[in-house]
Amino acid sequence: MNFLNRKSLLDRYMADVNSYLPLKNRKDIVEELRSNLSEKLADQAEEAGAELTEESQVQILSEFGHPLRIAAQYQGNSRSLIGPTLYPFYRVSVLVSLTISTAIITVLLLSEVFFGLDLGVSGPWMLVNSYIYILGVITLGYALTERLMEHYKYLDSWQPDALEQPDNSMASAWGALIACIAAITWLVILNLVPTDYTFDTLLGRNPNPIQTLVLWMKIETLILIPQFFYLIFNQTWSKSRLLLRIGSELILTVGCIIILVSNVEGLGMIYPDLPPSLIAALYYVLWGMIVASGFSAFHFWRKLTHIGRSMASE
Amino acid sequence: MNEKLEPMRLELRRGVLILAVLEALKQEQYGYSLRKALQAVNMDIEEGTLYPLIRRLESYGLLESRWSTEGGRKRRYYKISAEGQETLRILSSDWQQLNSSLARISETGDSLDEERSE
Repeated sequence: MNFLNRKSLLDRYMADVNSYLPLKNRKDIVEELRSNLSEKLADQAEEAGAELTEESQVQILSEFGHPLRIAAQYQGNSRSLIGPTLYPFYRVSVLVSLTISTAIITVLLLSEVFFGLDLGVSGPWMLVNSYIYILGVITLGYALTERLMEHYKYLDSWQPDALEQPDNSMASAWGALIACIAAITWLVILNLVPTDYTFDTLLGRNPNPIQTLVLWMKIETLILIPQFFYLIFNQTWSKSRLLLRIGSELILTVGCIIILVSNVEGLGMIYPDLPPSLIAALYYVLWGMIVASGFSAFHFWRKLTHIGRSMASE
Repeated sequence: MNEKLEPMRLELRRGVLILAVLEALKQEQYGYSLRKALQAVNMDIEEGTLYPLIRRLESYGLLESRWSTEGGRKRRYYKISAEGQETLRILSSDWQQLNSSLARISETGDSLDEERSE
């Protein structure tokens, strides 16, 4: 091949590297790389005792590396969005939340198909929407967490003697993580349900009791998420955190009671084709939620009194 | 085995690469000539790693550079700076310490093996 072809191949390579390089010092870097590569091509030609064939040049440039990889080496403090410290948690979070959202939306879709309910589930698109929301929220959450951990030197400022005594009543980091992800996923799904954000809805005066239920659930979930998130990094229950947890459980209990005493029947008016057995089922669901959240509040209350007794005996 | 060995060898070499570059740049050189000099002493480093590294070392103030045109060829020459000399002195001392530690570990291992065989 002649000199013009060789130059042309090198030019194409350098133009590609140039397009990926950081703006700062770009011209200078390209000039230096070109100079080094030209030296190499000339050196190899001299060794071969003849002009380099196009195949040889291609070989040399491919050994030098992909333009993107070469340019990446010139980037300053290059870093990944989620680093290796948090990546295992990130991976589990994404898997758990996508599984939960797929399960919930599939149940909603099946309810629409088999019971003829209009729950506002827009088929597979709702699934895609929920995936995008969930991935976005989780990625953003982890990226921010990692940067905050670095900023406040969280991993460098720990004291071994400040570690808590192992205790069966402690929450586990993984449990808290899964709870946190489940709560975020739940919030994303709740957000896909159209809700009227008014006091009337909150107080059960909305003709659609589902909207009242969703609004109370959103409030409870919003209070729960920061609690679970904090528990990932500090697994001991303090008095104030237990009180907050009990409060969140009671919020849902209050919401369910409001719906029960106001307008469960409203569901029949909104969905006239709904079989009475399903409206009756809503009663049972609400009572079930009251019992479950009441039981959960009681469980945390016992934990709280246990902490109180331990502190008194010390 | 080779699949695992190669990344280990690369990691090992990467550790001493800065030391080798600073040492080699006691004499002024341009990128390609530095690469050849290192290659001549069996330190075969990818150019895609070496050239950005030289620039990084320059940005740390460990190297000084200048453009020069000789025989119609434009080249960027690098040489170790005063700060680089001091860094090289510290790194070399660390390297020697590591080497002697490694030798002592190896000796201890050998003597343990001998004791066991007796």
